[in-house]
Order: sequence, then structure tokens, then C-alpha cells
Amino acid sequence: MEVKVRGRLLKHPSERRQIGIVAAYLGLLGAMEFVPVCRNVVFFGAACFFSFLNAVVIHNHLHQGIFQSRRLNMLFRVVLSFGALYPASANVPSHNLVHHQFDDDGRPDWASPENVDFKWNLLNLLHFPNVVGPNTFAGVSGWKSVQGRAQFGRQYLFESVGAFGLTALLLFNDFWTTLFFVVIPQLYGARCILRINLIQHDSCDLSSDWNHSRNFTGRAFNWIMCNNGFHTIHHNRAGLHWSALADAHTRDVVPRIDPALEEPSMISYLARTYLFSLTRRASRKSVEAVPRGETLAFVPGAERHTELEVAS
Amino acid sequence: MLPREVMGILALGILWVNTLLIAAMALKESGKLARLRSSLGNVGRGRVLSGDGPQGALFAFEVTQRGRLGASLPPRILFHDRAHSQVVYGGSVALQDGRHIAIPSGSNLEIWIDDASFQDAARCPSDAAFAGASAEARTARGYERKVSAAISVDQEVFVQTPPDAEMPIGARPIVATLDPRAWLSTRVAFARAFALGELTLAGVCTFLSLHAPRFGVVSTIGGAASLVFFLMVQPAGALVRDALRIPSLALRTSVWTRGRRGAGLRERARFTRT
Repeated sequence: MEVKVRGRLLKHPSERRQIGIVAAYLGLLGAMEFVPVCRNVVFFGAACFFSFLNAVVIHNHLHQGIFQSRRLNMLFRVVLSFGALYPASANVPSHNLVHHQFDDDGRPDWASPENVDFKWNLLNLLHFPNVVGPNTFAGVSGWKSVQGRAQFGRQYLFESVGAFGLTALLLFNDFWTTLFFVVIPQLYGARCILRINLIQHDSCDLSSDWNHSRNFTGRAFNWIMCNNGFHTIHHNRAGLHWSALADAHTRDVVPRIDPALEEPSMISYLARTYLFSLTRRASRKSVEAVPRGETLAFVPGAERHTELEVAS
Repeated sequence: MLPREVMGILALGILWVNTLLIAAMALKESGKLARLRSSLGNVGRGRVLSGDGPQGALFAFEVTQRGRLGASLPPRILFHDRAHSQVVYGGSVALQDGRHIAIPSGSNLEIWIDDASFQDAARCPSDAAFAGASAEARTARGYERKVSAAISVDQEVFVQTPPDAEMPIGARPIVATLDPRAWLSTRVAFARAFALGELTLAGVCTFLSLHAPRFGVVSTIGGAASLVFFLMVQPAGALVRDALRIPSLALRTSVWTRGRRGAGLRERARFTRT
């Protein structure tokens, strides 16, 4: 259930979790940069993991700003951009407008699983960001060169200066420490969030209304991932707040989706798909399950697109 | 504590895994093109003798594009591809070796159009056309057009031919306005050169990074070069992949610039739409 807190800093009480994630991540980076004793395996591993979570927060924040204040939301994008070493606003065209449609105005999604085609599936997972990252930057560059997107261009520039400028300053101050304990975690998170596109959509039926995405349904996983495991309902209802995704998934998706696309654990899925399997699974054209029980609200493509534009 | 040496090995490991993956991707694509090159068989050079289409067209490669008004001055309409199609009107080709090839209407051909022919077809015809298009191009929906690059009587073509000069049933022979053998050979060489150059650069960066004393001035320059290399080799790899797309699959963006009729058009291959 969505609860709006009027007159407060945050739009929704659950956003404290996202603020906490970002604060913890920046704290880890700061500790490793400035306190030598913190440059250890635990801090480094945690920083990499929280960098990925920082990218998850970018995803959520770019769908629905965390703060009531628009200015604070824009400023927070700069903070998030530093954490991921890419301008957070890139998500608007690349994720909100293109990826959610699996289509770029007749061209393929910039993050389409078809971008990689190694026979050994682990190589696809490793290589995916090498292709999708440049696709995204080229796509955003083309998207913002069109008339009427000047405001986006300014914000994008502001975030680029914030992210790359602060990182460059840190590199200038202490090159090796920053490279090892700031830049590697930053890049790890940015590249992992790109890989999620492959993990959530590879071998799914992108033309289907319900079987286009793979869901990861573990409770603990979704707590720390701010419900980003429930990907089908997120695609179909982009305007829905992340805190409401679990209930909506149970209500709308579970009765309709191919049960093979419901994965309890991402770790188990990754191990099974990329470590213990040498070949890539063929793309599926699965039959959507017949809804059980009462008739469910159906969200066709056009409606989904409208909701997306509002949510962006 | 994580020693710098351990982190350095980790960083170089990341660099090399990605460098090798990008090189492997380029070599994989070049392998596909090399196999296509070796499977071409006979390619005859000739001229279109007759065409049953408009103005004696033998075939046309059509690209549906959508244009939107650019943000910068001078006013420009930026086009991107939405769909590719082709029409084979039918006709005949006279090869240099004296043979004639009959191409029936609707034949299943793989049409390769060179850049210049596409550019000719995609040019802005007039200032009035620009003005008309720009009104639509400034809307969210954009201005849609179909560029038809037609190949007509007397134009030079290259035809993948069987020994008996008849189109094979069920095959998809290449008919091109450029020599497919030369195009494929150039691209294969380019991909291999890229892979070699990329690996060499990664080697140089690694050598500098490991220069004694470790983490000294030269080593730090090597580290900075490695970081820049890591960030730049990915878009370079993507550009190479795009350059290796065969002409029938390469997307052709184009630009109309006001006041520069027939000029201001550029073409480049990006993405693939099959």
C-alpha cells in the first residue's frame, strides 16, 4: 500500500532504505579512500555490493524521485552519478523510454540480450556491459541532440561533471588508492546493473505481456534490492512505487506468468545458467498461463507506454 | 589490509579479461565475414541491361526513416532507420564475361547498396522539402520517410552467380553495387588489425603499469593509461562491431541541414535490425 507523507522531505517512508543504502556506500568509499586500515577485503567487497545497490537506487529514483523537492531530486542524481561513475539521468532514455518498450522507435533495445552471442554463456555475462555500455552512451547522446531536450542535456552535463570531476579530483589526490578502492567499486556497480538486463530478459519472450521478464522472488533479496526482483510487474506498471511491487507481483503476475520465470534465488540461477551450463538457453516463445480465479487487470502495450511517460 | 600489489593484479586481470573479450568479439565477427567471403563462389561484374521497375530500375533497397529536428544550429533533421526492405522489379544483367543473368521479379536476393548510392537517394531534394519536413520533425512523432535507393539500367553491379548463369532455387544470392569480395576482405583485415592493435595497446599499458619502481611515476602513468584504455576500448569495440555489419543490415542514419541541399548528409552504420 502506498503512503504519501505530506510536508516531509521524502515522498514515501520506505525511501529511508534507499537513502541508507547510498549513505552506507559513500561511507564505505570514503573510509577506504581516507582510512588505510579500511582498505581490506570486507570493506572492498561491501563497497562493490553497495555500488550495485546504488545503481538500483538510481533505477528507482529515476522512475520516482525520492524527495518531495524537485531540486533535491536533481541534486541527489548528482550524488548517485558519482557512485556509479555515469550520469544517472541516462536512465531516462535508456531504461525508462527504450528498455521498458524493448524497442527504440523501430530499433532494438540498447540493452537487448541479442547484443552478445558467445556460445559459452559465461562470456555473454562478462562481455554484456562492454557492448551495452557504449550502446547506451551513444543512444543517450543521440536522444539528447533532438530539439526540446535542452533541460535534460543540462542536467546530464551537471551529473557528468559531478561524477567524473569528483573522481578525477580523487585520482589526482591519490591515484592508486582511488583507482583500487573507489573506481573499481564504481565500475563494478555500473557494469552489474547493465548485466541485470541480460539476467532478467535472456531467453524470455519479449513479445509476451507477462513472460518478458524473469523474476527473483527471495524475501531477503528483495528487501535489500528494494523489490527489484519483481521485474515483470515493474515493466508492466512502471509508475508503481517499488514498495508496492511485491503485492502487485503476487496479485497480478503469479497467476499469469510461466512458472519457469519465477526464480526463488538469483545466486542459484546465476550458478545454474552461467557456471554449470556451458551453452545458452534458446529463446522461448512460451504460452502465457491462463489466469486462475478472478479476471485480472490487463495492461496492454499502449497503456504501459502512457504510464511510462508519466513515470519518467 | 589489501596490499597494492594484490589490487594491481586484480585491476590488470579485469583489464585483460575485457580486452580479450572485445578482441574475441571482433575476431568472431571477422570469422563470420571470412566464411561468407569463402562461400561467395563466383561474383560477376556487369551492368544492368534492363529493369522492369520505374525508370528502368532492376531493384531497390528501401529504408524507412524517422527524422527529428536537432537542437543545435543550423537547423537539421536527424534521421534514424526504422525498417529495411527491398524490391526486386526484375530485369537482366550483362556480365563482363559476356554472360547474361536474368533476374525474375520478386527474386529472393541479398541486396548490398554502397554508401554513395544510398546518400544520393537520401539527399534533401529542396529547401521547400526541408521546410515541409521540419514542421513534422519538431513534433514528438517526428517526420517519417522512405528512402528508396534504386539501381537502374546501365549502372554497375556485382552478382553472385552460379556456373550455369541461373539463379539457384532457394538460395539468396548477393547482388551489390560494390564488390562484395573486396568489401568482405577489407572488413576481415580491419577486424584482425583492430584485435591485434587492441591487444598491443593493452600490453603497452600493462608494461608501463608494471614498470619499476612499482607505483612510481612511470607506473602511475601506466595505470592512468590503463584506466583510459579500459574506458575507451569498449566504445571502440562497439564501433568495430557496427562497421562489420554487412551492408544489408547496417543502419544508415542521415541528416538534412537547412541551406545545404544535397550536402550535410552523413551515413554511418549502427545497430542491426534483422
